[in-house]
Amino acid sequence: MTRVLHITMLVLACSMSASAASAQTSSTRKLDRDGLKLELGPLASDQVRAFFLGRGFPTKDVEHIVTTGCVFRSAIGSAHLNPGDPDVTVTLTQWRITSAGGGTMAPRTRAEWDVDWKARFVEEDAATAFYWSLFPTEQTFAPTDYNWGFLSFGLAPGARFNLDLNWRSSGLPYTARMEGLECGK
Amino acid sequence: MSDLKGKVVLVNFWATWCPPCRAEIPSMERAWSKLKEGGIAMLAIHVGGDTNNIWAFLSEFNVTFPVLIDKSSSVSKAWQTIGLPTTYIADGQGRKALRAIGGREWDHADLIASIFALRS
Repeated sequence: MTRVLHITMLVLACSMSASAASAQTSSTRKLDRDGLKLELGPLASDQVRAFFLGRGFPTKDVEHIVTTGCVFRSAIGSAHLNPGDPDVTVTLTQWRITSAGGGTMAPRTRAEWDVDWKARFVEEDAATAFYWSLFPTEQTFAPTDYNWGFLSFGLAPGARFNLDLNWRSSGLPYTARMEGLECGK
Repeated sequence: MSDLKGKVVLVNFWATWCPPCRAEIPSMERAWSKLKEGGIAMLAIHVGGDTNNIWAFLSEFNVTFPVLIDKSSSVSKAWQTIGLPTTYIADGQGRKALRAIGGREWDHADLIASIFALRS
């Protein structure tokens, strides 16, 4: 079962408008080491609106995502290709976002967003689509496995931040830092 | 699933708005033509109830394999699926023998062979 991650990212890029995709190129970040393959990039506010309006969210709730979500597209998976290679585990609650103001927090999880949707009486279909479009809070990847999904960093449009991310493979912890990330506007 | 007791079954969890799910559907349709002749069953389970878009999508891609709708995600979660697409191959005893997280080229000869190997 071989499949390379860049095919997924190509599909993700093709699903957006040509201008939006080209605008994202410079802000796309990649990582490929110690078993992890990762690519992420910010979604512009209009891309967030288009996606979630298309999933049945009312405008006011889409604006809640736009103004507080800081949504990035991502593809994350195992860089290993051979059966018997170690699994790779990613746990988003262990990642840390450090904003320009110095505050530190973890990415917003499916469970946290679900609390919002219940409080805002969002329809089940829309809430379900949101749940599955967000990257899982914790996932273990066998060789060749990958997943796509949105990451929500819980900041305002245009906010800048550093991201400390980590993962485990062969029982060992690994870390990486991405500096100067910027939420879409 | 109880109707498929004793059969090898490919179960694919997907959604129309999931880019890698969309990408793998054509190869899944090509694989279906080989798998059904080999006695393999297949179920594609759409997560969420986006009915209009589902049928339009299936028509656009000329999908002929069975598609079910898991409106509340209860089946997906019961299968311990946490991301889309995820595909399981259950053996004749109903055990998850293979799992693929992320899209695949399902008509690849190696994949078809690994599925057929579960019949024995």
